[in-house]
Amino acid sequence: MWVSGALRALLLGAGVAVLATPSEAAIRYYTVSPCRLVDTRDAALGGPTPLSGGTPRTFTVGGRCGTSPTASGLILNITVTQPNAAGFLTVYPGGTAVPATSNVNFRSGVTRANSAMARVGAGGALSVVAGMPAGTTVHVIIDVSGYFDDTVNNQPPFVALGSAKSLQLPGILRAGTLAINGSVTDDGKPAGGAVVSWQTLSGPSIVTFSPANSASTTATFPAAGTYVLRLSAWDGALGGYADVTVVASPSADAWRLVEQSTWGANLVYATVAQNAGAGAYVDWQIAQTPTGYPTYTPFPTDRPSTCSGACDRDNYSLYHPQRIFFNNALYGNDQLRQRVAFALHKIIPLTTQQPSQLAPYLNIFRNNAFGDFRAVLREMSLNVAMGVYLDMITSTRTRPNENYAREILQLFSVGTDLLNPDGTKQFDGNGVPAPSYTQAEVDGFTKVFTGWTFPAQVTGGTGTLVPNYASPMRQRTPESTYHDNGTKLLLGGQTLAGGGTTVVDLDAALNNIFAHPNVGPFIGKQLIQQLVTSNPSPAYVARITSVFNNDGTGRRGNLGAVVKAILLDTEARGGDPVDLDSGHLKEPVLYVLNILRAFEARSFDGATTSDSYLNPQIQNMGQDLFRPPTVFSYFPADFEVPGHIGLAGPEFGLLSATTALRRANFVNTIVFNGIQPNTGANPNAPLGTSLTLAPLYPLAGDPARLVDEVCMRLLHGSASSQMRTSMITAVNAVPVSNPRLRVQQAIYLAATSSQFQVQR
Amino acid sequence: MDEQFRYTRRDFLRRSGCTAASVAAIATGLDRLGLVNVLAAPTDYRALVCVFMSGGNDSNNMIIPLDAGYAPYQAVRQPAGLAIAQAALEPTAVLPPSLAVRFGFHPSLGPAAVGAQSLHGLFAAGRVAVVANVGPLVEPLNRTQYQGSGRKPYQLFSHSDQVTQWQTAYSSTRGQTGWGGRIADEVVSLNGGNGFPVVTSIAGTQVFNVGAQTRALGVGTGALNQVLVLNGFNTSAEATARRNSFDYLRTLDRTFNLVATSEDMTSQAINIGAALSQDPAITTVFPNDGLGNQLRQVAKIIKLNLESPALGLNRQIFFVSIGGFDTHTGELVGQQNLLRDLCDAMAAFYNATVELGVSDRVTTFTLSDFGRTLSPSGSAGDVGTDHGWGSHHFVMGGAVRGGNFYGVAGPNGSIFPTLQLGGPNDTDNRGRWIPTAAVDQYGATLASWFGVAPGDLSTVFPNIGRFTTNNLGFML
Repeated sequence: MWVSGALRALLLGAGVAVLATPSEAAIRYYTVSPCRLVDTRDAALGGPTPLSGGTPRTFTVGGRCGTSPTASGLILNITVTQPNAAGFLTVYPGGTAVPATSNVNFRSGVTRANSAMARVGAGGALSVVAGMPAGTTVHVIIDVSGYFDDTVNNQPPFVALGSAKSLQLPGILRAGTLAINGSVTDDGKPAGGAVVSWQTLSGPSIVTFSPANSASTTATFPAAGTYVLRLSAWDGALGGYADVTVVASPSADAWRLVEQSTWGANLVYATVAQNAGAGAYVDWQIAQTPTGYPTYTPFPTDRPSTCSGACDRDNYSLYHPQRIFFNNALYGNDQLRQRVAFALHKIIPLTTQQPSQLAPYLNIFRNNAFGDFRAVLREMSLNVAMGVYLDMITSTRTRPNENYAREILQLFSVGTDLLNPDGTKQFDGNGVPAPSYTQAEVDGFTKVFTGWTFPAQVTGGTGTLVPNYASPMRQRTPESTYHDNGTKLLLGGQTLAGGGTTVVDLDAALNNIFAHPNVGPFIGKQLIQQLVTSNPSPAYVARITSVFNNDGTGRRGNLGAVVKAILLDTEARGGDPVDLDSGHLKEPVLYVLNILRAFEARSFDGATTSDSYLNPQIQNMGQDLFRPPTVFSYFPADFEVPGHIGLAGPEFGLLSATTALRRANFVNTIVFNGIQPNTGANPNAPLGTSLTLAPLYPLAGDPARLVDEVCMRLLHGSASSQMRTSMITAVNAVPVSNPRLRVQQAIYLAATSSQFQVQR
Repeated sequence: MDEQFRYTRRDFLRRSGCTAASVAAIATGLDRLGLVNVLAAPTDYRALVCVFMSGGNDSNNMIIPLDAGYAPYQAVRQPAGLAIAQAALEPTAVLPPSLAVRFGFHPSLGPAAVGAQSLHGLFAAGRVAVVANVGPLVEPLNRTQYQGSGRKPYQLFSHSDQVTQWQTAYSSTRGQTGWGGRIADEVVSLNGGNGFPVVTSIAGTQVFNVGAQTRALGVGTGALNQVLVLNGFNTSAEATARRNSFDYLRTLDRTFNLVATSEDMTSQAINIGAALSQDPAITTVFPNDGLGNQLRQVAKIIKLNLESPALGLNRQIFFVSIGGFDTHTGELVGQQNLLRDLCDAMAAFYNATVELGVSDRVTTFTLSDFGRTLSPSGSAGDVGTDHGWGSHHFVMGGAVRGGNFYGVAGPNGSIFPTLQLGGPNDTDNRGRWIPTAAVDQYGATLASWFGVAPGDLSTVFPNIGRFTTNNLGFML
């Protein structure tokens, strides 16, 4: 550091030696606020005993009172008081021989002071000795008002920020704060302390700091993501800095929104929800390109004996669409569409053994998940698989079959009981639920749905002509023979006049059903139960009903608007619900996919994607994909939580002692072993499935961080402190030399917990 | 394909209705399983086994009048091709003393092979009884009252609602508990409080099994000591620590009702799994199908209990089911196969109870959603029937006054309906029989044999007082 010529002249003029080294070092005089270094009357300042004549005492003064630790000389005021004999005081650098000098002389009993300039010894030591007869005493007080220090060897400020930090944001679109206590150490050169500033080096947005110019500050993070922050210090000549990585995790509510709208949350989706907001997140999901099922070449209903082995598996079992379902669920981007389509499938179920019949049925939900519920009803009514499943395809004027008529009313549209807009039942005068229809209406709709048959044929997979299952059913002709043209009693007392054609009657009947006020609460409440909670408040259901009735533009039955309203409703949003009845048990397919998506499931060897042959896992838990046992779906929509009369818990319909342990055993398999591929020609599981655990190994050395990460992925960060502590203890029982086993330990516990099994 | 799947359009209904219970009671009760608590093998053992025919069995084709009574049946069913030929019914003909006319059981209820056991054979041997025209009722009802202002069960002809009514014996409002569970509530004190549930379902969770206080156990088929096994734990330090945490986590967050219920289910499974420590051998050969495997499991559990003083259950109720009876189409072949399966499995089960020496202590009975319309539906060639109401059922066991038909005399003076469209037993004109015997009466007869005191019958069947008798007399 240079000293200017003017300053040099000044210092020289003051009698101060100015060191002139070849590197042009310089000396500078620094003032400090007057400060007491030593007071032998004060225990805190080197006392309380006075100096004893002839006995030196050493004080550590270096670096104190704001003086630089490398100060070469201190400007002191030396005061003696209460001497009981005459004498003198010598001040000299600690660790050196006592010089034959004096700084202040005194007679007995007086208080005298003198200024001095003293050099400090090694270690900042200053020694003092009283030249008095042995056994006599004097108190000494030393004040400092300035010091000399060289400006050479200025060290840059030392900045420290500690290890990586994290925080969880408090709510969707809400910023979060984190106290960061950095430290800046400066040698005071060249001029006093250092000036501090903060920056955002990288991250999804700019972080603000309050105060902005202090090493200890509160940082505000507007968005979820990984930030690198820099704390810089500038001493006037040199600068120092330190960086720290801060991970701002999406809020619990952002994770919950993703859990409600996908087959399993991950950081990418949760970040979108957090930073874009709930509405934009839903819009983003609605806009994703749909995944679905291919068009399968139709095969005859009765399997020819020539179609065996792989032909049988691929065309007369649901093996292939089941794998496609799981593949779409694991890796597709239209997660919300898939969830809604599956929800509609559960409300309007069927089963068939032929993929060529199943796929067109499933694609109705895929295509209309955010569309028009009236279209769902119509396409479903004319779907071949449904016509076969519920016998509409054989129902004629002379041999009517009421199966479809009954089920479309009971299960697919209005339900058995008249409902208020808030989903509660209406009761008659005797306290009995009022029915929405009777056998008379079932008879009426039975007549409506007569006279349909298979669509035109195409060449099928065995070379013979087979109906094209992907096309809708068509009228059976002559209509007068097969379609009932009498009057038909519909819902709400409406009578459909006779003489209508097969198609005209169908549409009139569907209009009648679609217009019934039950449809909004009946369908809306079930969608809430599938996505958010089994027991929505009546007010929640009423809000959704009103969106079903009118999406804001006058349209009725707009499923996209309904789904968006369900997810944005105040009862779905806002962090962990406090209601004791909140949430819903994850059905097997959701439970399994949550775990697989949370840990980026891949093939057994990890080299590629999973083969998605996962139906056996959920079948074990009581849910055979696309093979619900009856038209009442995998479990009844009105099944109640065992032991809690009146508390809805549809998914508990699949939870028995047996399936409860199968869930835990699945976790054991997937976490500790993986699902192995099988071999041979045309293996069912060519690649197997495993979880991707390696990204968590670096956290294994810090069980608290590992548990937090696992609980963020599976439980939106909402594990109770007791749960967290218990998991940490279990992880600690695994040697730190086995990070993989530590990771497995944590995942097993979280994934088997009922806190995870219940979506809240 | 490594699965065996049997596709039927409307397979068995798996309604669920798990029971209420205090987990604390189970936990303390089962604590005693680990103690040396040597109870004597049960000396007063009784078991009820409910076989639910899911979908609604067309009992009009299961029990068919012969001789003079055949013509009305033939007149309605023959034109559509749904009638079973009288000649085919001769091998399975029966003559119940109560009616003094002959009936034919469906041919599938005869022996599958020469010398095999069958429901027809057991009827002839006095081990099987028929209960005629049973169904849910609010109060006795005739055709006039039905078509007028008589009180009818809610949502007739709807699967889920009728299944609920059969299983709960509540027909004016929706019942929340089943009469199997309510019987269990009454008899649980006979089981010495060791915690193993009275009711065991091999067919999933159904409301029949739900009691007000007791909770059923749900297990599947397979080796009994492997149905409730928790995998993945050994004696290593890591596994022990994981197990400790796994158990501890189930005690947390229990103020949230869904979480607590899920935790309870896992806890029950683990506790009872510890009690199922063997896989007893049953010599009797069962058919290797759904119902056969379920009933074989019931036989194993009965045997385990008889041989395990620590379990020492005096009263057990079991629930199994067989599905596919919703024969809107394809009924002839469909029902033929289903009744074959029903007969073979039930007959094997009877033989197993003989093998275990408890044939007079185990009573098996059938339920179903409803009967079906006498008049056929659907197109010829694929003919079937639609949903009905009253139907006929079997009761089987050594304690049954077998070889006879039981029921309540209806407006036609008989316990058996008049097979006439628009006749005195019909709701309208499709041959849906208004039941003459109520589910309450059917169940109360079984409950009385099982040990429910007469004064407690109205607790189990609150509506029983509306009917003329609480005992149809088919039990010894």
